Amino acid sequence: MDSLSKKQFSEYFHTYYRPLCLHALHYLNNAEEAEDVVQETFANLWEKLDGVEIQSMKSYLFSAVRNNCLTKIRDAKPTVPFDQNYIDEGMTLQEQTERAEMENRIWKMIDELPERRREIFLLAKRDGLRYKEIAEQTGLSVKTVENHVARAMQSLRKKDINAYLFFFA
Amino acid sequence: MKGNGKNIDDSVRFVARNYQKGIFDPGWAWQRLEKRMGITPQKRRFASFYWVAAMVVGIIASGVLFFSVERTQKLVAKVDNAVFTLPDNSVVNMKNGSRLEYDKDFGQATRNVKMQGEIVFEVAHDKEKPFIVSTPTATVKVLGTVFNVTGNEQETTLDVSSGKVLFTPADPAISFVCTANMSAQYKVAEKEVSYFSPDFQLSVNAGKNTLKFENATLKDVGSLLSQYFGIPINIPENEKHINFSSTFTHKNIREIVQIINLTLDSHVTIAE
Repeated sequence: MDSLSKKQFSEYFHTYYRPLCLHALHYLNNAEEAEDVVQETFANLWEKLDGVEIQSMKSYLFSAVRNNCLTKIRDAKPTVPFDQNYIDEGMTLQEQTERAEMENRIWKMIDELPERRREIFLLAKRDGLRYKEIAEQTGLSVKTVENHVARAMQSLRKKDINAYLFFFA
Repeated sequence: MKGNGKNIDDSVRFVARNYQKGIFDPGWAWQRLEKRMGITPQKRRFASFYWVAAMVVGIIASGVLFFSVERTQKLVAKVDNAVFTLPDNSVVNMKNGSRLEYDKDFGQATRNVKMQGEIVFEVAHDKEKPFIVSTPTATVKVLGTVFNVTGNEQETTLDVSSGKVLFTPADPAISFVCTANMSAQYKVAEKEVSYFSPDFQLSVNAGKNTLKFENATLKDVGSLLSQYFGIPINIPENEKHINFSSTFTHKNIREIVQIINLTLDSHVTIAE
């Protein structure tokens, strides 16, 4: 392989793997399938790298993953025509890429939360439970729950995701 | 991205809804992908003595029970020259059938791997965390860069291409820093370890109680003697680079030092 060393390839993989999985997840709504598509995209890239020059690896990867997701959806339900605009939610590839990268930062933040705080954060944001309901479920006081969620959101802000997040704590 | 709050709130909920610990992990995914390049990583539940010990310590230290069984990452090369990148970016080139094991915390506090077969290591630089390779019969601590290890139940050999590597056989546990173009060979049955380069050789055969030096510097001779006999040996600074050749069988440390001093007119002493 001349155009891209294994080391560079590995760097692209490590940088974009999770954002690409999140990108694919918007299409497929299934984590395992999303990972498969991203794996497949990188494997194909590896195989055809010889002599191929790719100007912007990032946009190549995001558009390849999108195309592979669309193919997968089409092949799974060949009789149902799908409206690509509906799936794309009217977003450009650039917007989708930025969204995936932001979601990657959110993912990392959740990953880095202490176990207990993560659990409470997910109860609030994933399951949409109220603080009072979480308090009942975990046996903690409402104040403690509130505190945990606030601190989790603080970590988000520290990660400089976006000041807007502040308003959704 | 349309930078309004609703999108971000959607994203937080989207991630929270799909979040699972351990999925979308680039490290694991990379290993999966590398399968296609000739290496088979295998997840394996692991409960060796070491992990049991670690878990016991963990329970005592934290007072918390471990829910998950610790995992070891295990690689088996299916072809010759199977290349694999470790989490710390060190690169291994494995001969067909070679095995490499490391735990999932590799690179965080320590860099320890276990191996069998023949593997060339290109170790990523990290002064804080020495890279340690264990074969069933010896330990290699990397102080520098490129080297080749062959190891099984009977013997371990080391060839250093560049940098510095500390080689320590199981018995006799006589360590030596091997530099570029040096090799180490350890044979378990004979209890024999040899360190050699194109210019010199040092060998210890603990089974036959034989020490062999060929064109070795007094500094290296002293290091070997003090490790073998467990006594510090002093060599005057200006005599450290004198070369010495001889073979000793069933000699005690006093006799050996006496012979060296008589031969070289040197002033080696035993620290007592």
